[in-house]
Amino acid sequence: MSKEEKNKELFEKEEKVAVEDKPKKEEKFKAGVGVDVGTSTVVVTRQTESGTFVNKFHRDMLFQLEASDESEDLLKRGDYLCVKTKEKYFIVGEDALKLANAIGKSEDIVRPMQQGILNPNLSTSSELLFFILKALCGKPLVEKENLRFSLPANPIDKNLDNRFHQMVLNNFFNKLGFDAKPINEGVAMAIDCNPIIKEEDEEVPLSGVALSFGGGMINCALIYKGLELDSFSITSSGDGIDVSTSQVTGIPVSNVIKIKEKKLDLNNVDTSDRSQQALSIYFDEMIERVVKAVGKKFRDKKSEMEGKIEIVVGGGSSMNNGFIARLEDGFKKFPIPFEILRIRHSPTPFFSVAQGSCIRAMADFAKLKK
Amino acid sequence: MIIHDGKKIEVNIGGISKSQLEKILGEHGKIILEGLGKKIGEIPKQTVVYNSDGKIESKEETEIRANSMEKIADVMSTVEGKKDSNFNKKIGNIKKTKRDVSKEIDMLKDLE
Repeated sequence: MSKEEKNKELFEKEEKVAVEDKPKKEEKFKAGVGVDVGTSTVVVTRQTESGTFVNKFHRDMLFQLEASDESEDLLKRGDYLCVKTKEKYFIVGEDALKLANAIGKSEDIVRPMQQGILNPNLSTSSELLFFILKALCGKPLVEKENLRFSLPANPIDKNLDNRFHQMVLNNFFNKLGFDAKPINEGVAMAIDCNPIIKEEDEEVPLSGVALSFGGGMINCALIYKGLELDSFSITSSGDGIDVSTSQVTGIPVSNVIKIKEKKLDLNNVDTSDRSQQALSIYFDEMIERVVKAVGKKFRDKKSEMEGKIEIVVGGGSSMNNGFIARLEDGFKKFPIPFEILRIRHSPTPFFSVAQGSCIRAMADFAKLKK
Repeated sequence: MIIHDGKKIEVNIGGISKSQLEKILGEHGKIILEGLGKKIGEIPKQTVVYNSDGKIESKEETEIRANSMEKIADVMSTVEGKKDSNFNKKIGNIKKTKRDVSKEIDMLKDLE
């Protein structure tokens, strides 16, 4: 290699290093953080000063392995993200689902949340959920930074009380140094999507119905000018669909989840695939249940609302192509006591609850500054 | 709030005042609230946990709840990440969306 070539190589190397060493422009965040503690996914959201929501999300799922040399080998080879307790390894998040599918042992999947609230039968996995939440939330930006975490409304179809769940989470976030408050999941969805009620020529913002189709529950809220008028939840949502499909087809739940998330198109169901057929049927069953419940619950609210009402929809279980069309059909078959302006899908259905919680937390902070 | 079987008391009233809590718990709540502030060992052994409807919860459930509350306090000492520094960096995926929400914030900050 000639001297010139050597110099050129050195120059290029130096130039490359110089580029890599340039400090990355750090995004500054506004104070106020939103957390969606969902049955299937945890989402933590902050907004930058330039108006970008940064949604950090993690599948709320663990795969347990007994602590042994073999397990350790497997984890090292796979580079799985995991946490370790004295007796077990817990592979966390997306890796848990991948490993369950690879090994074919769905029964070793652990869900820290069940039907929208902390799984009362699994104290250890609750600890792991908190470990994950702590890593996702980070430290408060300011002393006692406002934080809003999503809380499901009590269900109308099951005797389930969310008070313990609320208190435990409140306590946990406060311990991390935040000033935490719960926010109803449906209300958070509404805040993010900002539905309107059309009264003659006027459009009333932050007013309408929000439906959040989560993993464990469906949450519904009726709001007017940002105020919650009514809210409720219905059990058995996405997870229920997975379990029912698994039961009638014999396909493990982890595989059903994969098919639902990767293949299922509700506009174009592959009828040669038994699991897709079953999923389609259970989606219809869920939609019918929800639409009937909304109609029944809001019948007595009719006198309080005038004008055409917008329904906004989000949540991970609303994300399959064709879902909104089926929901529209459902509302046609089983009318509700309001005139519907339109049904609008959140542009970010997976993150709406966390984003709405974040907006509310930023408003809490703005109120303090006022 | 948790009353354990006479050995320990863990209390989290999450910003709710005593009077509000009594209201939520009904008459039975007073039994629990009498225990607040007492030291370990001073709680009567008959103490039980009542749910919001004033019904006695099962012992098993009580123990699970008590355990999880105790563990939350020192969660970091019971579990450890694979590589602590990397764990926080690796955990979670990120999705960014941009939107002006100043109008919503203006409306919400005036609400109670």
